[in-house]
Amino acid sequence: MRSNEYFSDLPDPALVERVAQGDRSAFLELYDRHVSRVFALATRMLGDRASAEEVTQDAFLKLWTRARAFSPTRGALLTWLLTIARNNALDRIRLEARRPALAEASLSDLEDGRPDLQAPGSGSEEARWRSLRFALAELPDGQRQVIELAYYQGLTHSQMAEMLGLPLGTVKTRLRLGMERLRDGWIEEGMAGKRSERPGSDVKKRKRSRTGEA
Amino acid sequence: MRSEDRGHVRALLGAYAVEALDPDERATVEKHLAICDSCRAALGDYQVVAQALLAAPAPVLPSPRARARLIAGLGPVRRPGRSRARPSLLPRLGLAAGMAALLVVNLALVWEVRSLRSDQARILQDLQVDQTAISLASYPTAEVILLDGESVGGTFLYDPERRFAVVHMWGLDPLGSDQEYQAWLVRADGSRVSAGLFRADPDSWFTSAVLTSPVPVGEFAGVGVTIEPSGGSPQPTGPRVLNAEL
Repeated sequence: MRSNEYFSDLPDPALVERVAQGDRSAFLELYDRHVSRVFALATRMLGDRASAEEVTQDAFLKLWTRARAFSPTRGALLTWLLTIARNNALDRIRLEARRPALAEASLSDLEDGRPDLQAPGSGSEEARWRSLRFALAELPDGQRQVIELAYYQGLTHSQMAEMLGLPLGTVKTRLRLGMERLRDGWIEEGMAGKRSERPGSDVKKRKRSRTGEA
Repeated sequence: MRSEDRGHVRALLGAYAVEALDPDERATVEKHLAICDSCRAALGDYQVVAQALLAAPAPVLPSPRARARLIAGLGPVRRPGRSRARPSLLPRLGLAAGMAALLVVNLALVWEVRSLRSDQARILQDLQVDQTAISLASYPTAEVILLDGESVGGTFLYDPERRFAVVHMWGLDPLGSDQEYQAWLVRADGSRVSAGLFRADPDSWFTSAVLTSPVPVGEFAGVGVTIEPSGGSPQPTGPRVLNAEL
């Protein structure tokens, strides 16, 4: 059951309004539009598909029951869903004291599910996310590791220092440098995107070939 | 605000955006952000990156089962106002009535779950029959014959080499709990071998069942269905509802 053709043209906020009225088709359209990103994040954080599916389900159930709580003026629906999924996944990680077994796992190790080839998002948005993924992968391992441990595993500076057996100052420096680099890359990418809306600007091509993922 | 504070906070904004700060430093940053526009603006850039990091993992689809389960789990949407307004209008009485209603809903749910479980068992059984039928139909040597009966009809799908077959029937009367339908395979000499018991599906025009045979079905000369006491009989005793020659 693929959702309605008509709905596929409607933007997220219009569909959310319908969901708030109990419209299942609108809900399914939103599910199909965003589920692969929510599931990707949950899988990235939790490492196992079963828990990731549960977290994904919970996020969408929240959309179903609490669609009215979503306000388009405060940000994109996808961000809302991803934030719910992240909080939910962090709760699980803390509850199960499932401390990062996947700290060493590389991005590609975790991307072994069925890729969603029709991933949503406008072309330029999608291209920016992808380039951020590459930018993250290109950071020195130590910097990437602390960003991921913090954001995807919910660890603080001191928890990471303890876990990694590193001086606190080292952890702080790595995180700061890594975040600065991602921020600079993001801003640069945004300006490149404005200069040319083509989905393969020079910046991206360079990054793609460097990570061998073209 | 002293400038060394600002520099200190600036260096922590990236960590703040990905929630890596320990409680004391977080408190320091938040206190400073409340009064410093330029740090808030600088934080904005990091927050955009943090948001994008949520969407950065390469998209992966969950199993189609997850979608089906989600659809099955959708309850009614909470309508605006209703549930929130009531308790404040009729505090105690409303609460008591609400609890009573909840109890009723719970009881209803218990029944619902029970009937869903039996539905599920039935659906699984149907699925098994369907899958068997599909796999049988895909054998190049599979054959279908029509079963004849009074106001009852059916088809018998089998492969002569196999020891199982699928029978689809329509128009079968639902039987009392003391009776069941029994299928028979008939040898050339007229002797009969039981091929399985089944009940009519009360919710559908059609009833399907997988029949099993001790030897390849092709060795038999005919097939029939009779009504037997619950549990089946060693040899047919009841009225014949369907039969055909193979």
